Amino acid sequence: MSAGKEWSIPAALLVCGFLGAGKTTFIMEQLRSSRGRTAVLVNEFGDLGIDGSLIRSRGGIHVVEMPGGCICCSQRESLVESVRTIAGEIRPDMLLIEPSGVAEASEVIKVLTDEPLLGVIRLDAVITIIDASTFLEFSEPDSFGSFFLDQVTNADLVIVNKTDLVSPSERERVARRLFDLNPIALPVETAFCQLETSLPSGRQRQVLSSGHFGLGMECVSIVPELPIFENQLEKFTHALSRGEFGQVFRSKGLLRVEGGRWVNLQFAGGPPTLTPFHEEGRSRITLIGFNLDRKRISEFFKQNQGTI
Amino acid sequence: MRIPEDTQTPLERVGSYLQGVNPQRIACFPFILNHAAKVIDVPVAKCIRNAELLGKSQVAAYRRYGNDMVCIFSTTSTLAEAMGQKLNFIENDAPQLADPLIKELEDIDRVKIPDFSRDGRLPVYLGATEYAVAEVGREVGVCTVLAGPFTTAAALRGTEVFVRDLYHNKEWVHKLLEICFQAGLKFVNEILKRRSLPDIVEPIGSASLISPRMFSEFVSPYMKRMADHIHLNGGGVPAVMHICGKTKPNWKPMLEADFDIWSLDVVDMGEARAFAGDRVTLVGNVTPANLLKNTPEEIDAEAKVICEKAIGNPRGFILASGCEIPINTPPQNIDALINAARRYGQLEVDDVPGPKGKSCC
Repeated sequence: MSAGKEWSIPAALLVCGFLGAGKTTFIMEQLRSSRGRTAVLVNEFGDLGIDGSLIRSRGGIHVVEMPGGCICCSQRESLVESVRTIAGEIRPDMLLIEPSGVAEASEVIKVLTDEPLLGVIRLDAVITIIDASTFLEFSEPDSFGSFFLDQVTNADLVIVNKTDLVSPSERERVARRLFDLNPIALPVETAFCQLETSLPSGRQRQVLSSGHFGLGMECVSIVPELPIFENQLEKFTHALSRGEFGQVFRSKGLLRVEGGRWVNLQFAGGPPTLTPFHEEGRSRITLIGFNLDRKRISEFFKQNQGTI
Repeated sequence: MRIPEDTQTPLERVGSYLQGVNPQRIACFPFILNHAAKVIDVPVAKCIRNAELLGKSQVAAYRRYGNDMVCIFSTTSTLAEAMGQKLNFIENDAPQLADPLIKELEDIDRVKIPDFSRDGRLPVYLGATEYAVAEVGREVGVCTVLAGPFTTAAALRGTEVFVRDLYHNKEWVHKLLEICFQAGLKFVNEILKRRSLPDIVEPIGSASLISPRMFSEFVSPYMKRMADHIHLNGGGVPAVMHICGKTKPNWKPMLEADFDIWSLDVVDMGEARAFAGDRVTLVGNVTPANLLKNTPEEIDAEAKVICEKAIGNPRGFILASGCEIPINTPPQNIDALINAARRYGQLEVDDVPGPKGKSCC
């Protein structure tokens, strides 16, 4: 941090994933391209190939080991204290949190967004890494306990890793299963957890949230409070296509339309597609891209007037 | 509301359950485990490595709070520790698992059935048990907590890797579970010899981690054998099982294990009563995190709701924390929990088996 720079609440990213999915590789990849001061709260030092003392600093990256045990019972207290200590002593710009691969994301989210940590960190996104080659087997209802599906259903972004190990038809089935489990999450396929850009971020449950890292890709995630009008929906898709919100690379959303119907919006560079969604859900739309006009996107949905 | 006075000792109260008659009021088990070190103002790490200190801390906690069961415990990994698993001790917290003993499958050969007179901290546990029974055993029951075979195996292997082994290495897992079962059985015998109650905990059996199918295959069979052993050799003591976290999806296979008492955590006690109340005594389940951060009034309110759901359970109900109370729990909150048992848990004294339940106004 440069002298005189005001420190703001660090953004936090929760990185989940079962053993072997590539969670650690993902974190290491992101650390290589991170800007500013970054802290990582890891489940075990061994995961990152780091031995030695409890706090290991290297350049602008600080690695802290999370207290062991499940995120239940009395271990919540230790997690809160660890986060507080990191925020207070290291004062990172970004905090990556990697819990145990068998932790329920929903329980960790509760701790990170509960009162003791309000104003200490801001949980920007939940990223879950899955192994495409084992996902179909492991996501069967009776395979594991609830942790496995919980990590998927609570994700904002799902990194579908090891896609080089599966056939196109299996990739398709993985995509369909993912959609059934979490139609809101944005899936990104990778091999070796290599994204084209640095970490996307930006998620707050009730309001617009966004973030960006230097020259990397940005992510804007909105939870509309009101149903969207039909004409507003049309205006939105046109604006998306014309680049009026910035250079949008991908967009995905589940939106409630005035009148009660739900639509699933998908955009990947071509014309946006809208398909009916026949179940009750939770409205959210996520955009990732460059130079995103966060304010304009926010205003569009907040006022529910569709003005551009 | 006036808090009714107790007219029974904790031992008499808990004994009533075993005799199948109503105690004066429901018993209360706030699981004062590592918190006890704070009661005698000793660092946790020091307390749990010394038999006399560990015993003294639990006796002191009992004298301060009046809980209805004294529990000897420091970590669910104590048996694994004695079998070769290293722990990292933290000044004022529970110890944590170090690198797993079993890194490769063939490392199973490094796992040993412990010598209870010298391995790990087993002598500390057993010494503390003897101390507590000698000091207060005439007025309050003493239980000694041990991890079941599944949790012990997970500690030796590393939980994540172990969960994956359930898929890829089933036979090997059963081999490890058998070793852990044999070690656990010996531990149970040592506990029973010292007139303490074995309390078998299986947190890795939580539904958050494993499915009902996996529970049925890997947990129930070994726990059933432990319960059978206690029933045969325990001189009438009940088989007690504690699984923290979410357990509801696994209740059906949990019944297969044939335990007498279920200590539960993140569940609805009303549902647990409906499902298993004719088979098991229920224990629980004030949220441990709430004991740390809430006010005494809020804890009283939470306990009241639980009592309303669970008192009248055919096989009895004991108010408790859902799991270990946080080390820094304010003392007044523990008082509030026990007072809630006094307020809401008064029972009609009769000779019909099972508590009937009556709120005191």
